[in-house]
Amino acid sequence: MTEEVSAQHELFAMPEQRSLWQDALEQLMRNRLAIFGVFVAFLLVFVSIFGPWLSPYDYTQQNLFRINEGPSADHWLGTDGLGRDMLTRILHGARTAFLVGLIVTIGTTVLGVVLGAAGAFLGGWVDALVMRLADITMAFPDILLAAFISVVFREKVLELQLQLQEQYGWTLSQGNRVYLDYLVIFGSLTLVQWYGKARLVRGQILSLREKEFIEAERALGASNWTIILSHLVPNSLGPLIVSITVGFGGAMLSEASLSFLGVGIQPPGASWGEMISDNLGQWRFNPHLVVMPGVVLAIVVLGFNFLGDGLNDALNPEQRRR
Amino acid sequence: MGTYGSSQPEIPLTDGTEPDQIPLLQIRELHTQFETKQGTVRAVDGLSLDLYEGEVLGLVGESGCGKTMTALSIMRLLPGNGQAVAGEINFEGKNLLQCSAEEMKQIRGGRIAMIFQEPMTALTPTMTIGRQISEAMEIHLRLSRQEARERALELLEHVGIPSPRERFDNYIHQFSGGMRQRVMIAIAFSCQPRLLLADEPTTALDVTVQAQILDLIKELAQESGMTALFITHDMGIVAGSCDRVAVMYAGRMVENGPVDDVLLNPRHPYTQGLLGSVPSLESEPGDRLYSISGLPPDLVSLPPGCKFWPRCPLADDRCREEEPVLEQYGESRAACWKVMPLRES
Amino acid sequence: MDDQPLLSVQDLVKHFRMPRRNLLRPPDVVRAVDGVSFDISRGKTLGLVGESGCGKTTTGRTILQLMRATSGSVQFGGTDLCQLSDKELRNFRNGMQIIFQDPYASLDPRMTIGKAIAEPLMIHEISKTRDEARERVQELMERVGLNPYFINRYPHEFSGGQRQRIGIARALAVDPDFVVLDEPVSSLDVSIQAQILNLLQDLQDEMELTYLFIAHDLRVVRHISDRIAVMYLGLIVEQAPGLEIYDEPLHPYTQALLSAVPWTDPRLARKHQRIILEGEVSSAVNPPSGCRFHPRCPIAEERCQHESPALREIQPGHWVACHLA
Repeated sequence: MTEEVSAQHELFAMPEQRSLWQDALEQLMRNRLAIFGVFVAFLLVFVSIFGPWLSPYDYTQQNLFRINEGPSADHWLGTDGLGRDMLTRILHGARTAFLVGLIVTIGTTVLGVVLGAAGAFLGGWVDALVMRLADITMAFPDILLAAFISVVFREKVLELQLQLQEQYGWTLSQGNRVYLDYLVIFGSLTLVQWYGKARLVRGQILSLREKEFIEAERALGASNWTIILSHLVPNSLGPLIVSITVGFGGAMLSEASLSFLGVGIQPPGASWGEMISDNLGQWRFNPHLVVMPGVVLAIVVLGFNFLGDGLNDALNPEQRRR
Repeated sequence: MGTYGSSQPEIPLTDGTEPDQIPLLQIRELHTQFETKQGTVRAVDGLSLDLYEGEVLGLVGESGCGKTMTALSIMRLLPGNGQAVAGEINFEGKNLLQCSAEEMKQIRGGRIAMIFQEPMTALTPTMTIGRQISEAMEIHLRLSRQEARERALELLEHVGIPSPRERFDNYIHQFSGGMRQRVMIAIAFSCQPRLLLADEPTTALDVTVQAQILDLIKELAQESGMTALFITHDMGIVAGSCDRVAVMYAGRMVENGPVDDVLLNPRHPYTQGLLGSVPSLESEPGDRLYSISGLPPDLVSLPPGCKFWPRCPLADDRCREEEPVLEQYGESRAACWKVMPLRES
Repeated sequence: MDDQPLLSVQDLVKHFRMPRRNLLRPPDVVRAVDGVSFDISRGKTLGLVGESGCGKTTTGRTILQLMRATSGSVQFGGTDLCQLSDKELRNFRNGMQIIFQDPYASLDPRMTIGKAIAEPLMIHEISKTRDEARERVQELMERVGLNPYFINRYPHEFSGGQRQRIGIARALAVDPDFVVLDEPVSSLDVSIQAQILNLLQDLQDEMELTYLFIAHDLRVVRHISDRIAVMYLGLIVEQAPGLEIYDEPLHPYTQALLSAVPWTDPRLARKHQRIILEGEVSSAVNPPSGCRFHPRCPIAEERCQHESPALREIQPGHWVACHLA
C-alpha cells in the first residue's frame, strides 16, 4: 500500500528522460568553445576533401615571375619563394594535417587499446612488458624519437619501395614521394604516441574491474564476454573519446614540428610545418608567409583541444548532479 | 488548532523556547539558495533558530533537508554556487552574514569551530597534524610556536591520542577513523571556541568508536561550558547527547523543543514518522516498521502549502494550500495544521 | 531447527596476500575470515553483525564465490560451491543472489534500469523473448515499488532508495532461494530505510527467501533476523537466536557492542551505562594471540592472552567463544 503511494510521488520527483549520451551531447552544445572546436573539425574535413577544387592553382605549380608576393586578387594570400599560391598550399596542408591526425589517431588507438587491454586482463609479465615499453617510450622526447625513427626508416622504406617496383612493378607513390613521406610520418608518430592511450585503457579497465557493478554482474552469472562487451567497453568509452580528440590535435602538431625540422613531409609536399620552415627566410620582408600557416595550425589544434575539453566535461558523469 | 501558545510577543522573531534568555546564536528567517541548471535550489527556506549559552541543540533531518547548509551558512563556507540570500545570523552582537571576509577568518576556528563527518576531507593531507593544531592557535590565540606546540601536545593527550609526542609529526592518513575524528576534535577545541558545530561527527564511525567520540565531545563541551549544535540524522544520538532538538524538513523547521518532550511526544507527523521508522532495541522485532511513504521533495519545485503533505497520512485540503507556521504546544513548537491532541506523559 | 539447512558454511577461511614490501620477508597475510561456520535454514534470516574490518562482507562474498575461499566448504542445497569451477558456478547463480550496500556503485551508469533488470533474465534464459522479458521486468518493478513507467531511465535519475529497489528487482529476477544482503540499508536515510526493510520482509514471506543479512547496525539486525552471529576479527564470537543475544549477551564484545547502541528514549538513554571499549579493532594482519578480543576486553585474564577460546554451546542454540562466559 505504501509502495503504491510512493510510486505515485515518483512522478513528482523525476526529471524528464534523457540518456547519458543525449545528456552529454546537450551539455556539449552548451559549451561555446566546444562548438568552435566542432566547427573547426568540420571545416578541416571539408577542406581536406574538396581543397583541390576550391582553388584554381595546383599546390606544386610554380610561377617564378611572381615570387614572395603579398595578398592580391590573383593570389589571396600571396605567393611563396617559388611563386606557389599560398592559399592553395594551406588548403593542401589541411589534407596532410587531417590525414596525419586521422591515421595516427587510428593507429595509436588500436595499438593503445590492444596493448592496454592485454596488460590489464592478462596481468603478470604481459602487463609488466607493456608498461615498461610505455615507460621507455615516454622517457624520450616524442619529437626527437619520431625524428630519429623517420630518418632511419625513410631510406629503408624507399629501398623497399624500389625493390617492390623492380620485382613486381607495384608502386605506392606513382613517382610521388609524398605518399612515402606520409607512411613514414604515420608510422613514427604512432610508435611514439601509443602509450598515452594504452595507459588510459589499462587504468580504466583496472578501476572498472573493481567497481561494485561489475561484481554485481558476476553475482548474476554473467560471462566474461558479457561483462567486457556490455559493461567495460561502454563505460571506458568516454575518456577514450576525449583522449582521441585531444590526440588528433597533438598528432597534427607533431607532424608540423617534424616537417618544420625537415624530417617530415619533404618538398614539394605541402604541410603547414614545412611551409613555416620553408618561408622562414622571408620573415623580415614578408612575415605573412610564416604567420599564415602558423595561425591556421594554431587555430586547428586549439579547436581540437577545446572540443576535447568540452567532451571531457560532458562525458564525466561524476562532475554532474548525482 | 488553537494558537494558545501566543504568550510570545507577536513578532515571530524568536523561536520561542526560552524567552527569558538572550541566545548566543540567533538565526532569523535564513534563506540559503543554490543556483543550478535545474533552477534555484532552496536549501534553507526561512529558518529561525535560537541557540542558548551552554546548551546542546540537535538539528535533525534526512539528507537534503538543509541541516548541513545551515551550519555552512553560519560558517560562511557555502560552496561556490550557494548563497545565504536573506535573513540574519546573529552571534556575539554581529550579523555573520554581513561580516567582512577578514572578520569571518577570525570567527571561524576562533569563536566558532566545526567538526565534519569525514576528517580526511576536512584536514590538509600534506601538513602534520601537530602543525595543523598549533597553526590555528598561533593565528587565533597569538601564541608563540613553542607555546602552541606545548598546548597542542596537551590537547592531543586530552582527546585520547596515545603517545602524542610521537604522533605529533604524523600525517592524517596515518590515523584510523576514530583517531582522525579525535584530531579534528582537538583542532576544534584548540582555540576555546564559544560555539561548536558538529556535522554528523560519528556517522562514518563504528558503533563502539562512535560511543567513544560522543562521550569525548560531551565531556569536553561540559568542561569548557561550550554551546554546541549537533547535526545528525540519528534520533538515538539526539536522545543521548542533546538538551533540545530541532527537526528540519525541506529547508524549514517543522518542530522544536526539549529532547524529552519532542522524542516522547512528537507532534509533527514527520517527527513521528522519523521516530517510528528506526527499529529500536525496545520494539518488537519482525513487526512492520512505520514508514514514511514517498520521497523527500524536490527543492527546486516545492509543493504549495505544507511541504510535507505529499508524504503525510493526515493531509487534507488546508495542508495542500496553506503553509502551517510554528505554534507552541506545551514545551515545544510544531508547524502542522493537524497536530495530534497531546498525550499526557 | 529444520532437518536440512539450505546453506551450511563449514570452517570458511579467506586470507588475502598483501603486496610484498620486503623481499626478504614473507608477504603479509590479512586473515579476513579465519574459520567461520554456520547454518541457515530455508526461509530464515541470519544476521551477521560486526564492525568494519571484522570480515562480515568478505564472508558474504566468499559464500557466493565472488571470492574463492582459502579453505573450508559452503554447502548450498547439498552441493559444495567451493568445489565448482567458474563455469559450473554460473549455473548456480540463479539460486543465490546479493544486494549491495551502495546503490550508486552497484548499477552500471550506462545501462537503463529496464535493461539492467532484464539482464539476469537473459543470462539465465528465463525469458525467451524480448517482450516476455519486458513484461517480467515491469512486473518486478511494480513488485519492488517502482513505477514501470520509468523503465527506460538511467540509474543517475533515481534517488538512493529507488536505486536500492532496482538492485532488489535485479536480484529477485532470477527467483533465487538465498540472498546475501550486504548492508542493504546503511547508506539510506531513515525513512527510506524503513521502506526497504519492510519490502525485504514482505518479499521474504512471499517468495520464501533465505537471507544472510550483513550489517553493523544492531537495531536493524535485531529487527529482521531469526538468528544473530557476532563477528570480531574474522571469527564468530557469539551466535544465538534473535532476541536472546540482546537479552542475555554472553560475550564481552557483544555486551559492549550492545551497550554502544544509542537509545531513542531519552529517559533510558540517560540512565543507561555504556561500556566504553578501549582502543580500536586490532589489525587482521597480525591478530592478537589467544582470544583476539583480549587487548580490548574489560574482563580479560592471563589465560585469554594465550589460549584461543572455542565456540561452546552454553544454552541450547546459544554459542559463545569466551573462556569466561
